Amino acid sequence: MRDSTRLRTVLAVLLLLSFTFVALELRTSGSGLTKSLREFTANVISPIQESSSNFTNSIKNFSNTWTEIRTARSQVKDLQSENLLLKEELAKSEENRRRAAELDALLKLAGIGTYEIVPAKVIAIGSAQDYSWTITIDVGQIDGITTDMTVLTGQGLVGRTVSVANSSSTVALLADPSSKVGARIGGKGELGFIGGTGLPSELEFELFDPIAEINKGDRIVTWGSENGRPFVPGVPIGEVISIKSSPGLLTKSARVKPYVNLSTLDLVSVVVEQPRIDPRDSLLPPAPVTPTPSPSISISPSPSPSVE
Amino acid sequence: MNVYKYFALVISIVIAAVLQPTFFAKLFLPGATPDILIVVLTSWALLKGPAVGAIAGFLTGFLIDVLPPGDHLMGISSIFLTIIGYLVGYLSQNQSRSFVRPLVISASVANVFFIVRSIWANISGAEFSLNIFAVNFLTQGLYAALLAVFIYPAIGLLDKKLGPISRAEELRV
Repeated sequence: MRDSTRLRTVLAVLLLLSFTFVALELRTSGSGLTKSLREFTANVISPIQESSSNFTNSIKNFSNTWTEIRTARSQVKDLQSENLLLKEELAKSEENRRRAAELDALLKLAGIGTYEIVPAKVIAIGSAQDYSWTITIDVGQIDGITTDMTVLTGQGLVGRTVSVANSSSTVALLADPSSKVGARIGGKGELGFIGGTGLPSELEFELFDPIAEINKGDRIVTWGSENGRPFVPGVPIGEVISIKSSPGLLTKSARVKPYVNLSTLDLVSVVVEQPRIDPRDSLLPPAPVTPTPSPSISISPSPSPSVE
Repeated sequence: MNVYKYFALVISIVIAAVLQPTFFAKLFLPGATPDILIVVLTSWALLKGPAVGAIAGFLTGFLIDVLPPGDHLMGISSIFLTIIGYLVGYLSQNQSRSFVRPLVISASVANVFFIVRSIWANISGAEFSLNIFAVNFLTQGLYAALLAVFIYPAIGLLDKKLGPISRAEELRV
């Protein structure tokens, strides 16, 4: 039948096209044609995504207000109209207060660490939220963002920028399986790597030194990359929740719970300039029980006096 | 399929692709993120057959990979979804007027795509947690069925509005 031949042709063409994309991307390793295609669609779509995201936020605010209206209805009738107005105000100011607190925390972190930051809103969250840990934020090239910059919130590290369009950029979160961050134990100097596991509340910390001491509750900070890219030094990452015994292996590893709740991000900021002086452990939240042992001399990279 | 219908197909998939990360993902519903793209794709495939299903699948996969914050290997979702759309299209030949059928098919397709994605994630280094997998699997199917309640009739209506076409012509591309 002619129809079925056509059908097969369509299928074959589409599959061939898909495989071509895969081959192109693998061959050019994410640059070239596929990169410009990505940049183009990002530039076209991110204004639309941004307005859609704003729409979502207003709907969420509205539904908050709406539930409050419904509870108010059961109350005395003449209080109702007044109540409604007040509650609406309250819902609004609560949201504002929450945002203000978040910004405060951010500024504080940036203030102690002397990072220069650009605040940003999350406009889109990875479409396959189950395993792919990426978000889009509403700042891009025109705000001075480039790829491989540190992204953080007031609580700690979020991830790094992986691709940047004109007014938006994509951030790979810590939890992404492809993510690797150089880290050290706060207070000690032990170095290692924090890797994503694809699960939101567990990271894997791999120590270089197999006989190094690591305990539950140890707090992990970034160790910092050369020129602060992709990660600036001293950003809190998380706390050790369990240690994996790995007899016979060359490295030691532990489970780390990130300080930031990676599945409900709203306001973040991008570090556009790294601190002149390594903040070391000064950004870690205060230790819960016993004070951390006195800092020993460590081998983290010495801060370069960046006078340009 | 006439030109207008192809236009409607593209527009509906683009709208779904915009809403997916900026609306459904930001609702932070318990469990998985509702997969509106899969429901739109399934509806078109069920209404218009394998050829249109394959085209819709290709387009959906392309948008998943290319639109921010998509950071997958470009083309990989297109491969899976082209095949899925094509296969779902074959179910269109059994024209039934059942209300439940599209819901069940949408939920199953969403679950199949979820499993494919999980396997792919595991191959590329993610860890497997049975708890999270089970919760996401169940909610994924549930949300897809709920979305299909509205989306399947809407796309059916759109299809009808854009002009009657003989059955013989339908399968032609």
